Amino acid sequence: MLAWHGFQCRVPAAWEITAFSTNPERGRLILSTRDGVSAEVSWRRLRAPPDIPRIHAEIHRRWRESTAALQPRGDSSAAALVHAERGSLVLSHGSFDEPTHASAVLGERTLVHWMFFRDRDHDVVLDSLASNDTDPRRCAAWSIDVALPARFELAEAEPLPANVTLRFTDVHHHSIILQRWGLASHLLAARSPVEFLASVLHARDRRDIVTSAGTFRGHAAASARFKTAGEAGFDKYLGRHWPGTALLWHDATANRLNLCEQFHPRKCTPLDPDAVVSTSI
Amino acid sequence: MRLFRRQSKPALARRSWAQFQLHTIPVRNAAATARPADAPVASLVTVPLRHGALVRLLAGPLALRTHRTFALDAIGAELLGQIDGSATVGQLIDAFAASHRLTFFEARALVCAYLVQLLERGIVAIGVPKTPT
Repeated sequence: MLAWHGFQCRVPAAWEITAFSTNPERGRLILSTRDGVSAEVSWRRLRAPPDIPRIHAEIHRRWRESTAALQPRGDSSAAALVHAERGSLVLSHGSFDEPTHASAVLGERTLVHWMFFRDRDHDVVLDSLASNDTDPRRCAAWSIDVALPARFELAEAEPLPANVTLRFTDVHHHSIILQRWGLASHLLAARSPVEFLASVLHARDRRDIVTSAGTFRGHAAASARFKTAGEAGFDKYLGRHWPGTALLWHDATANRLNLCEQFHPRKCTPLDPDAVVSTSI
Repeated sequence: MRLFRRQSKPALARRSWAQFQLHTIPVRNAAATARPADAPVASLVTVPLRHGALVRLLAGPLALRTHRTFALDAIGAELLGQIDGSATVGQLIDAFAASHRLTFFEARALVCAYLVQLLERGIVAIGVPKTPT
């Protein structure tokens, strides 16, 4: 599953995000397999109705320019794009070895443009392509899949190898940090999830940590309550502490450790992790 | 007559760099020796140092060390154990991803970063096959 700014869809399991932008106004994701780049998706908030065939032609022209050095010399087979409609999508095809373009306006004003570099996986993506301007809003990337109230915006994404972190905040500075580690058995070693969670929170300078063991959706889990230095407003300068909670669970089957941590000013209400985490994290 | 002629790159090098990496073959330094160690270290690898001629002369009188020993954790020892001179980097990545349930790109980042460390310490060298595997 892939859900990002303005769109959501299913993608082949082998596709991984290898480049990304977090800007909700415009940006792109590059999806790759071990054989190279499979597809590129870009989004853009619109002010006026788009001329999609012209956009495809311009993107395709730039792609041809950027790959001109890789094409055989004297290759003049650069055919014009052929446009077709498929539901709300506009598809554009070039020559057989050139990328295929697909665009749609999703929600009220988000233009989503896909550029597929191989033919075989179009249908999986395009059949499931839908708007993500709903409440709650979904965010699914790097196997983290959550649905958060629409007031939360993606503030930071840090996809390190086997250690992915997504941080969301709302206008009241309520922060939710979702983290997913690989190599769980190696990270835990002889420690319990409670000990691991305590060490993570200590490393982040959380204070007054109270932990307890439990289960979450059938997995061994640890939960914690803590306080942390206020990050915004007068609380930051007056040294007031904000309350926070954390839930860590160990998915032994996937060999992953998942963490849902949140902290906020005192007037905010924490979210229930069970409602936030959609299918997996 | 052309005085300078650009040498053509090997067939593998003409492919993308990422694909080229996957087909290279790490080879263990034959002079390096590994022995098991107590936890949390899984293995100790000793590599002989190669000094220049002058330092070699002075090594004895000055009691300079002739070997360096590196401690590997469990994952490092597992990876080094799989380097047999025939497995390509791509095969090592696939095996690592399967045994630790990682994605290809996660395993590639971890394995390649670790191989670089082993290369810098003289524990392994990287070979390039003459023909693509």
